[in-house]
Amino acid sequence: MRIDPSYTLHNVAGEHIVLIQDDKENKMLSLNPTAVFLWEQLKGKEFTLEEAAGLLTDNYEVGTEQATADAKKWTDELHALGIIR
Amino acid sequence: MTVRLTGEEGLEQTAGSGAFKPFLTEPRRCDATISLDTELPMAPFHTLHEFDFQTSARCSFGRDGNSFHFVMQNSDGRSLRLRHTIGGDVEVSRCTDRQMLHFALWMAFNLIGCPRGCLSIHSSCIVYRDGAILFLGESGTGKSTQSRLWHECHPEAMLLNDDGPFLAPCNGRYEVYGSPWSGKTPCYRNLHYPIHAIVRVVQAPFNRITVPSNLQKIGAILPSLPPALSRDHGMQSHMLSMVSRLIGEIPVLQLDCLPDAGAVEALHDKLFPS
Repeated sequence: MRIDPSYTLHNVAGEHIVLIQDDKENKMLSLNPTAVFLWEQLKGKEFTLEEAAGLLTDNYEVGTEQATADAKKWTDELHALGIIR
Repeated sequence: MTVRLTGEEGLEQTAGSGAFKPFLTEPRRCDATISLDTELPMAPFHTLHEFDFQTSARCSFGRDGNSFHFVMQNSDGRSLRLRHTIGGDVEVSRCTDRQMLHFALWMAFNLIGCPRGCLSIHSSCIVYRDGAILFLGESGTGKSTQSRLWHECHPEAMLLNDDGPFLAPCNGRYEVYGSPWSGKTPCYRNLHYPIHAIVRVVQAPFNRITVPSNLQKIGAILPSLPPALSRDHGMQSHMLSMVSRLIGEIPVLQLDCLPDAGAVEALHDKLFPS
């Protein structure tokens, strides 16, 4: 999977946001620091769930099980929004 | 921002109208030229956004390489084409529909202004105690009503613009400028002021002022800037930089309110505590 390059992460007034615009509506996605970290590390690359989880275990004090669950939640949410394909 | 307008028939329809006259200036160095009455040919472009103008014209905004394109097609067959080269000028095709031309010029000003941090903000704006208060909100939430109530409660409060004033940096800080685009209210004042506050108006069965989170402030301001432009990545970056700066410089408040004098006093007490 990979982050669709047509989406950009912006820092606006200290908030990390991604704008999602289609014909019907405009939405704004707000990312927390961990989600921002994953975005910055993985943008422009093809990656697997295991690689995303590995970034979390390497950089945060978190076990493999929890990291995999967190990474899956992140990829599932972005996938549902059409940002990760 | 100063632009040069050229074109005989188009000039008569625009610069000759009451909306533009207060903003005419002596010839001087200008940021761009808007050429009206051109024979701009049809050209293919990638559509970024489509919307209706006053239920009568279908609008299409898009880009082709270094050029932005804007096309308006009226139900009676009249059309208008506009092309803006990034960092350069604007050409507008000959158009006999005054309202379409008026709107196309709004689009042209925003296209030229956006990279300079100068954009229209959908709001009703009053001036009080040497500064401005901007009322934002979706159509029908009572922006103009709040402006009118302020004038009724504080007669020195003056309407600067009722629909589309412009924001632009002036001596390092954002100020609000009157413009030729004021919705249904003919209020065209060539004046600019520092800003006391940007106020998001929300209808409620009570009057209450709150300070929104930064995320909520972004959600209030961004949709009030020209929506079509945010469909382009480059323009979107300029707009978000501007929103970031506005939030850093200017108090942004939410006014849950009734259309009554109590709403005016609640906001007055917050902005000008005695």
